[in-house]
Amino acid sequence: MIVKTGRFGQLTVGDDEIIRIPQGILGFPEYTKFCLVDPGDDTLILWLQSIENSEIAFPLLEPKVFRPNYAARLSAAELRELRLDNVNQSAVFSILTITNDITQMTANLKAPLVINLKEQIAKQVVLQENEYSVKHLMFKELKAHLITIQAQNRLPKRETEGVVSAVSVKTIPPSLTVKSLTA
Amino acid sequence: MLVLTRKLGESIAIDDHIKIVVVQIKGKQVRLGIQAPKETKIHREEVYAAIQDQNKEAVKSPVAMAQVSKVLKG
Repeated sequence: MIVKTGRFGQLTVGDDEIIRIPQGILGFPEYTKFCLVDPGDDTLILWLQSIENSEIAFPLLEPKVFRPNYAARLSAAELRELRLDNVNQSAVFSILTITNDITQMTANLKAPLVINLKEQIAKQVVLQENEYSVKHLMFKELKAHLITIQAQNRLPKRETEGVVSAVSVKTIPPSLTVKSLTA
Repeated sequence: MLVLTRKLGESIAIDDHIKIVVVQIKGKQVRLGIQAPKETKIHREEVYAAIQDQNKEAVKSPVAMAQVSKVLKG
């Protein structure tokens, strides 16, 4: 299908690129169908784009990039809701707030987006840990990480830089950071 | 909503495994103790409001991402 977006123009989105979020993102319960967009800018930042409202898109980044020991502990009810019988088939992303002063960008560690990669469903989960902030400064760590992978030439090779594309959910590598609270 | 009156030290039970005790009453503040299985998630309601506000800020991220990308990779 063709999806109109405010940031990326028109995108072609296949069935394997759709993510359903039955309860929506907190504060936006009316939107339940999304796709992940890779803007092709090699910043590791992806976008969770609403299919139902072109103006709604959230920047996402895997928290392990700036917080290597991050873990998302989910309750049995949350795992059921996500239909996750194997926690290793999931990916975890923090929602970013990119400020006009880019160095002040923050990540929400308290309420990550957990995606079931097999079922293509996701949920914004609220974690119990008090040390996880909704506004975690992480510009320095992300920049250092990008410089390191640039130096090691580890960025995935692209045929053409700057090409915007929807991401096939099944090709996202599992984050291995979801844990069960009961375990 | 079910409304119950409790005195200091009294408690309510929810299902078989959750117990909420009134630990202290001081002026307009009530301290509650909560006993629940470790997989029960318990949050102050303000946490949800803070997350909703943050999500609304996240949507406002600048459209000109080329500059963001330049600063990050430079």
